Amino acid sequence: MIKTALRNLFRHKRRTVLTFSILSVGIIYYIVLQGMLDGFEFESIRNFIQLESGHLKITAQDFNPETFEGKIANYPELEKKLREFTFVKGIAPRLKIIGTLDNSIDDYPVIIIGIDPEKDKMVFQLNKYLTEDRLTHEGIWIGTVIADKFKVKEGDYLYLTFKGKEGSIVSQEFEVQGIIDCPSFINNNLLVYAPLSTINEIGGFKGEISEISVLTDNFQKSFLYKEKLSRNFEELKISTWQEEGKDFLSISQAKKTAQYVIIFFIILIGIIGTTNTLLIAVFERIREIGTLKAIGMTDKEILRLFVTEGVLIGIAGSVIGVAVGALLNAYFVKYGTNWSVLLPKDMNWGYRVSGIIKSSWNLTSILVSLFLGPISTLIASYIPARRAKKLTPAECLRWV
Amino acid sequence: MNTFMLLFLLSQQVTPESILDHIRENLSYSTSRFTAQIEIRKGKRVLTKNFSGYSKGDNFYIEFTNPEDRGVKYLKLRKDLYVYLPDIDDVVRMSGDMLKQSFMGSDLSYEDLVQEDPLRFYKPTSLSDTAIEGNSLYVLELEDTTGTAPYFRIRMLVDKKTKTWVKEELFTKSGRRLKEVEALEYRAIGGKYYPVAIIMKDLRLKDSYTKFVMSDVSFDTPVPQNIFRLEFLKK
Repeated sequence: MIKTALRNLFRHKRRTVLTFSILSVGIIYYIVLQGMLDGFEFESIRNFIQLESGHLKITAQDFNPETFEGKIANYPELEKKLREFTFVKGIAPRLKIIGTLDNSIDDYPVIIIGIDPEKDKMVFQLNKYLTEDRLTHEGIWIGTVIADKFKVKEGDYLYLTFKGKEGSIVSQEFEVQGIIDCPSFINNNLLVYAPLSTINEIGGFKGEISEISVLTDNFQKSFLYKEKLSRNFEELKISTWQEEGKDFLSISQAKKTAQYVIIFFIILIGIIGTTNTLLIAVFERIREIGTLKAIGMTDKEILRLFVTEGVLIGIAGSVIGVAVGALLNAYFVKYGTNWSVLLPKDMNWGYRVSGIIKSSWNLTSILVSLFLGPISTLIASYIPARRAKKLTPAECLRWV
Repeated sequence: MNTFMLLFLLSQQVTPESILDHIRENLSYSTSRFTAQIEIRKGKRVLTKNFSGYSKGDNFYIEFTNPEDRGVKYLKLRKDLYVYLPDIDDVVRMSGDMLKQSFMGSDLSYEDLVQEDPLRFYKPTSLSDTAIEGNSLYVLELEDTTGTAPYFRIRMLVDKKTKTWVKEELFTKSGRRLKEVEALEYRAIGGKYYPVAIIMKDLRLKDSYTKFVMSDVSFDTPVPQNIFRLEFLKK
């Protein structure tokens, strides 16, 4: 049966190739797109943890993430207690304040982050994206978009203005010591890093901090570690990186929906293409079907023949689609795609990625693709096969 | 006789405290009615807005009348500031970080706007004499003693004759001059001298100022009672 089906397919090479090519293109698109989206997600999560959240974030229960009101007062004591947990690998205290940056000509609203540079390195990897990894008492690090706005470079000076603890306005000149160019919109566009000790001193914050970021031994156990810490620090609010990044992680959910839409269209392409090819084949070979029936081929065998032809088209489409898709994906995994033109640094589109983004391997999409072709064409070939089955030998032979 | 003369002269002596008290006294009133215009310049762009309103004690009511902002109303009730936005037909309470934002795009923040008697935080630290364009002036230096005033130091130029301020420079603790306010015109209203035209400059910005000009103002006169209620904002 398979031999006959194969022979029939080879008799109409052009039509067969065209049908499974459509299917293959759909599958290639699916594999490559999945790899890219997975690459975006993987890099985005890694960058979010390394540049914005750490594995866990500890704040006061009354901390307001919009105004940064509600601070932690007893940090040294908390740090000591946190170090007793063996899974805690890094602790970074940060003080967040809303302020402005100016050069006496223009001003720009920013979020000032007071950091302890040495402790911060234990949790965050900002230094990887800094032009110069130096932060002295009167120095600041600014994002690349902010630097472009003020047209400043390392060694230039800018004023930082904010309200101190008691409400009085503080304004001081700082030296730009490093410029951050990283895959995080907020870091490039909004944040200014200054030494925690300086901000504390000039703002009169008396050692208060806004949050403690924690690096653990395993980022996948963040919820478990959160529970452990929550039991010991009931007066504090502890959140995982997943909770901190829920906004951009919701994009992944949308991605899954898009994935189903793509699968649906591939099935649709397979069904329409195969149905069309086999329906034409039925009409073209109607006299041949009559002869086959006249020499004793049963209705079931006719049905099976056409279904087999359909499934073979599906297998060919899937195999070629997966092979080409995997090859293309391998290229994107190794060399990545440069998205700089499409993703400007001053545009926030959720994912924490920029420049060249490497794709990932998505084994599920490859496995799904292998079965997608044959299954869709199996469904599609049933209608023309049933039509061929219903015809009587006399009808077939009278067909002009 | 000599003792009496000495006491008389001492009572007439100008002290930094007496000047500050006089300035504060000159700016205090129980009620007011006003019609005013704000001119806001940011770079090459100049915006003009008109408003009218009333005040009573610490509360005030402002309604904008220029076509772009017609119907926008502000109401300060005790410590709270509310704004009615006709586009959404709703009242928004300004709180927290929103108060740090600029009032209608001007150099004045909402916090500056709701500040009651801002000079109450300050104590004079020095007084000296100067003359500008033939006018004899005092230079009064004030410093925040409470740690809660927005600006740590104020340098004020005060007219010797009327004991009214003509210019204020606002500094941070580190000595940076942040803002400059100049009185362009004073008018005698009800026995007091009131600055009816002032210009405020945010010195962190180039080519930026906000000018307030009051065209019609009266003090300690009756004002409608029903306007200082939240329900009135939506009417």
